[in-house]
Amino acid sequence: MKRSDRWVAVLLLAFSVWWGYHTANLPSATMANAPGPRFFPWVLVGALALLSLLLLITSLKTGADESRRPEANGGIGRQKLKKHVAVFFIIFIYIVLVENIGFRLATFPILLIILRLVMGQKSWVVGIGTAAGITMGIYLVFRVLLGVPLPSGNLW
Amino acid sequence: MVLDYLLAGMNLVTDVQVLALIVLGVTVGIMFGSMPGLTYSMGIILMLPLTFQLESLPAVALLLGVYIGGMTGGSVSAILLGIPGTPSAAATVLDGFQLTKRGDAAKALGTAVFSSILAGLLSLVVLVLVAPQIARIAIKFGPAEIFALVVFGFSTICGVSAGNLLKGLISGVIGLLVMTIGLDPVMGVPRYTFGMSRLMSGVDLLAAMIGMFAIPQIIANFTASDKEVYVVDQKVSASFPSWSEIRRMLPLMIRCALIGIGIGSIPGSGGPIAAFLGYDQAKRKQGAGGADKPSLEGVAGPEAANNGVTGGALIPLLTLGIPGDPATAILLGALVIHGLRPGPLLFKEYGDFVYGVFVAIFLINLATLLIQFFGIRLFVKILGVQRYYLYPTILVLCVVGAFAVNNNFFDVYVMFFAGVMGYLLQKYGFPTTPVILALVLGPTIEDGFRRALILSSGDLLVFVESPVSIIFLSLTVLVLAKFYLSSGGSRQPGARQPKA
Repeated sequence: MKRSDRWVAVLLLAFSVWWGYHTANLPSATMANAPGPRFFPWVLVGALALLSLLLLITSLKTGADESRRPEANGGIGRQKLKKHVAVFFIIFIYIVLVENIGFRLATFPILLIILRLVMGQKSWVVGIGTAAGITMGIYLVFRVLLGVPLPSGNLW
Repeated sequence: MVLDYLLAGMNLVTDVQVLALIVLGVTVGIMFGSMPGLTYSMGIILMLPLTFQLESLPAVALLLGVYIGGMTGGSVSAILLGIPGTPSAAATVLDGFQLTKRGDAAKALGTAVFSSILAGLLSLVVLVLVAPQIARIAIKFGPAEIFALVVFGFSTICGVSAGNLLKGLISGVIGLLVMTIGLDPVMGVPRYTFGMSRLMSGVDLLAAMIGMFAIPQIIANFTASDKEVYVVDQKVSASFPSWSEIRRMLPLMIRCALIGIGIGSIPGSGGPIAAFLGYDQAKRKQGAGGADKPSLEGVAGPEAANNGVTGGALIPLLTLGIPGDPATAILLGALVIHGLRPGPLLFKEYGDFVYGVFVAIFLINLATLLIQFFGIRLFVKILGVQRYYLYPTILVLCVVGAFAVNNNFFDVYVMFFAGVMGYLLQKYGFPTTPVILALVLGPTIEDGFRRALILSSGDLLVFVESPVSIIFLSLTVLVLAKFYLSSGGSRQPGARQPKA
């Protein structure tokens, strides 16, 4: 058991309370003698609360002796974690861009950013070539060859 | 009757388009299977958008090609690099890499392909013989029986894939919670839509799967260091074992294939577990004296076992609509998109389709044999492909794929958030497989439960009235108790979830 399990368990407990609040507000259309739309969600909320409580108890019981190992932080260092968050952010920006300016315009610049800044590709030629190649390749295979629609965006 | 179906199925399959798709699927599968860091599950999910414009059988043939090709291809990097290309090939590393160091790579590669395909074909035979019988029984199941059955399948999934039962169950419940978003299956009341009309139809299963599988992988690989380039001596070739070696290993291969079929047909277990059991069989055969020496048996055993899984896993998928692992869960999603709902009715209403799938599996196994055996140098070359080309392409494919499921951009955001969730779950040691399978099975569980109670006017005894549901519910209790005891309460140090 890692130390982080305690916080995860507490968060899960909080989440089940929040989810339970929404469950209580569900419409209560019922049929005679049969469970309505709220029933199954209540079983799940109860199960989640119970299981996270068990997780909390076991993680408190096993003590903190193992918590100093690097795995206590999910096995990765702070530096790497920052990088992961940054990549998530870039992917999110990419999705927003595709929705708004379309697949063809958004993919190339984002891939170039990922190749240069995230993956550390030093050569501009390789970076631009790869980003353009992937964008065109996928466009050709999906749109032209297979006729699968690609997100087109409002702009183009 | 069966012969008619078989002929109709053959007609469906022996079409140039289908054959071409099989070759494509197998090639992609071996590629994804052999590249460390890419799994065949991811391969299947990324190929999915390609199938939307296809008929149902060609689509399934392509995806099954990736599945079977991937299961076989994992052995390439396991033997040559000592790194399993896919978790199912982890047991193959043990003896396979030693054989390479000894200079026997060619024979090891050939043995791996040979025993994989032998087991794959054997599992097909069992599938063809057993599946229609199970379907015939299952068609009589009422909602209470279906509920009990799915609960049983689901509990094994949560237990096996976790290593930590508590976390596995939490993952499963989280998946079920996500599943309750949208219109409720019995009365059509909106639940947890938070005012978003897009959420009325629920979370799209395939978009969520794409995110959960691919995004954490992409994040890890984008930020990996540059050292992970796999270069192998490119003069590698494969050679089949000699007749005497085949004769010597045949009983082992058959036994391991049967183990794989059995393991595969239990939801939640799958390739990695079967492969280690196969390895164990091989070592037992060598006896105490020679057990630590690397041998061809040590490759043949696990490879036969993991390919036996392919046919085994299709038994509950096709007959009951219960997928045993992520790969078959994606197949289920693909079938539903093509308007086919796996389960006993599939055999009754789409008999020619089912037999077409059987014929396709036969051809896929042959294609895998030929492509991996003769194309081994190509796949070795692909191992050396720079990650600069690979992972950005996969990212773009994720976005394209999530969009193409329903031509709906909302699904791309679903994919992203599923990716964040998958990342967090993995980071804190929660397995993602139960989440995925909860999304697939959740509606069936709730639907079966509520329909059974409506039929019985609210009498809970309906769940213990038929022997079938009693058996499955007691099995559920037994399985959970066993997992709980064998994991020493809730701890199992060093246990990791199988990813395939």
